[in-house]
Amino acid sequence: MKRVRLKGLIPLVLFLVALVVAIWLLLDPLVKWGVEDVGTELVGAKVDLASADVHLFKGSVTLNGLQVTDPAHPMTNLVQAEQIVADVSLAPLLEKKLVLDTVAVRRVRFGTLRKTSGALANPGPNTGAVARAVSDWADRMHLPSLSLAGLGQVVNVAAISPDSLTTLRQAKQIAESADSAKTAWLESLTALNPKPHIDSAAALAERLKGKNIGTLGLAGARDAAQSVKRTIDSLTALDGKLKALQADVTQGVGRLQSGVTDGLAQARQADYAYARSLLKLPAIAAPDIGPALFGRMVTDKIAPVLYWLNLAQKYMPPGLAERLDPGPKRMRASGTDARFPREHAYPTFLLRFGEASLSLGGQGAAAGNYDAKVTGVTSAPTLYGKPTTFTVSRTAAAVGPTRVRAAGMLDHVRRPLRDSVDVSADGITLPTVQIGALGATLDLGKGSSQLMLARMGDSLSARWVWHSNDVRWTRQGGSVAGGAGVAQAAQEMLWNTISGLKDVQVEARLSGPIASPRLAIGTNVADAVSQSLQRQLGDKVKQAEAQVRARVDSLVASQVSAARSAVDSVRSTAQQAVAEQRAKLDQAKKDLESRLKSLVGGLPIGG
Amino acid sequence: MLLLKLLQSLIKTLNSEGTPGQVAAGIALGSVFGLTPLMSPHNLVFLALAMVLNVSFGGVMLGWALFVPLGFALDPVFNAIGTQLLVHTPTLTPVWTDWYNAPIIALSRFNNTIVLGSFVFWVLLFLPLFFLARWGVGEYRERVYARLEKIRLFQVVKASKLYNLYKLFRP
Repeated sequence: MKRVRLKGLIPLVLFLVALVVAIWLLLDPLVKWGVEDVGTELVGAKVDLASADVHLFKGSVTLNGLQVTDPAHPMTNLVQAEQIVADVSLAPLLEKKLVLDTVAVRRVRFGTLRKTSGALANPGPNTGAVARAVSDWADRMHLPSLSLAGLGQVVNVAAISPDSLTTLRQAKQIAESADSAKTAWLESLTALNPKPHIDSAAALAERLKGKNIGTLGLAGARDAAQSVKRTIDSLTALDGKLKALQADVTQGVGRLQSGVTDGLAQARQADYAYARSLLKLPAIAAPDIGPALFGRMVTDKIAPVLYWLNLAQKYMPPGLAERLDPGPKRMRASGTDARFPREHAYPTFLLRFGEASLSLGGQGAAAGNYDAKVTGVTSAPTLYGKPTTFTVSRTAAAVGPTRVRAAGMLDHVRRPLRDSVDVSADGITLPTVQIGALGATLDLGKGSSQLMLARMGDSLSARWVWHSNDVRWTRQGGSVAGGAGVAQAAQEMLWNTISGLKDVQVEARLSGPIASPRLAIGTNVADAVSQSLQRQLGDKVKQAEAQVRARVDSLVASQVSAARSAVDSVRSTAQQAVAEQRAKLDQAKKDLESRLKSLVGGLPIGG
Repeated sequence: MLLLKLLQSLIKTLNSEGTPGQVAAGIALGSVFGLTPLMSPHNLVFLALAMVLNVSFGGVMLGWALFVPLGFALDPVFNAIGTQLLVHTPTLTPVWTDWYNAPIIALSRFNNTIVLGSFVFWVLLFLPLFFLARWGVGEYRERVYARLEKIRLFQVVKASKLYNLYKLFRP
């Protein structure tokens, strides 16, 4: 029987021809679907593509009508590009790797309106994970509030609950620790039981008083000397143990005393702050007011920058370690795709050089043409060996002498990641900020914005400055919620202060770990508000604060005193007891050493 | 019905009278389409083999149909096998690295845990399945068919077009 069926070649060839024709016909829709599917998964909102045109053998791909929805605003596009033309290297495709030699993007626009919502009906668990993480980050940022509602209200010190005071809890804990430590140390001293040893040594010393070789004879003196030496050795060993116990006690007492002095002092400061917060008194220091006024604006502005950096971190990781990603969507389980990068091989994705022409329409100050260039965007920076760089510059302005320049570098070649972004723009429209506490809206108008951001590993250092000498203040309707007359008067006073400001500068600094950076905001608005509050309300706030502090002090006084007594008791009891035993033991040792000298009289006897 | 007709004509065209060995080889070969994700490049190779090799094409179809539900059910097992081989067997990493960076082979999707796990499972199953199927078809043709022929329901089915497919297994 023949093992090969030659007539089967006919349907096979027909099938292969049909397959090639199908791929040829379906390649464009497949690329369109792929871009939309992967893009949607990446962004967390709909990515639409009007059409794709693939010329496989020419190595050319053209994408037309790309719209990327802003996940936070589904009726707005994050970015829209009319045409993207890419030159694809063919050889890497055989390794299932996409290497784009050049990409040209034409007519990029930002923030365009969509005809339909780009929100996802059923987003997957991984869809838009980066956007969600950044949104959570912004929500987690602790921003102080500036509220005038507490002004003029009766200071209700009874509202301060003793259960919420940290000082009370810590003082109780210190007292308990001191008691248990004292018991433990005294038990240790009892276990060492030095008294019989000391008494025995004293008895031996007493017995040998006035004895020498003459009275005991050579053999008797030698035996006595040996006995004395054994006793001295035993006392020395016991002294070592007592010394260790004494060090332990001294150290422990020191810790307890530090808890009483430093720990309780810190706890009391925290309690003052807690009690003060119950009264809703406004912060009157400028460093506290800045974040209260502009904190939300800063986090809203910095969040998109972090979003792109986190996206880059996720999809451009350093190193050559194998990577695990979810497998493709299919009716069967997706499984996991393992990637095995190797030096001197192509990365899974590489864009060597990209260029985009951006147009911002209208007659606004930012309107005009921009030129953007990007190099070395890759899924495996270590393989590519060079950092990703990008620059954006203005090529033509529609109106006004504006200047826009952005440059950045993402160095993910090796750990730690080093990212830096530098953006500066003049004559652009700055944000409008609602300042509820002041009952005002601040329209920063046209001005300059400068961002310098550096990230190394998990640490972030950023400085963002907005400056405008063309601001407009608008008074909001309504009054201070729950505020009394004093609060209304304070708001009026603050309005008079800020409405006169025509030149505003806001300087935000973020530093520290990316997950929880420190935010400091300096602004002349905060300075003016602070000075005004100090001038008008400083005395009232100080009085209220003094009442609050007195109440906290009275609530914690007895427990703090108890803690202090407990620590004093440890010091006077345990520490003293150990010291006394050591002194007695030392005396006994000295007596014996004196007897030994008398016994042997300088002769080499007694071993 | 169209599919049935297509199937019938395909069977007639290729091999309407298979030996137990041919049917068993077809079933064993066809099981790869059911056990591994269908749209994997290796299945194109096995489809070509099914057409060119003198195995029962009906057997291939039957193997595919029989093993599709099993493939779905065993996905967690395939995932575990694939993960073990791809992730937790460092001695194999150089092999995977070579393959991952080799032209054509990289297109096979071997680096997916389900694809690799199911394929390895199928390779291990191939010979036992072949021998089991060959024995089963032989036994059927010798012992079961004679009895079935006397049953009225079987005669009705025999008269129907479905019988064309069934004909494949008769002695």
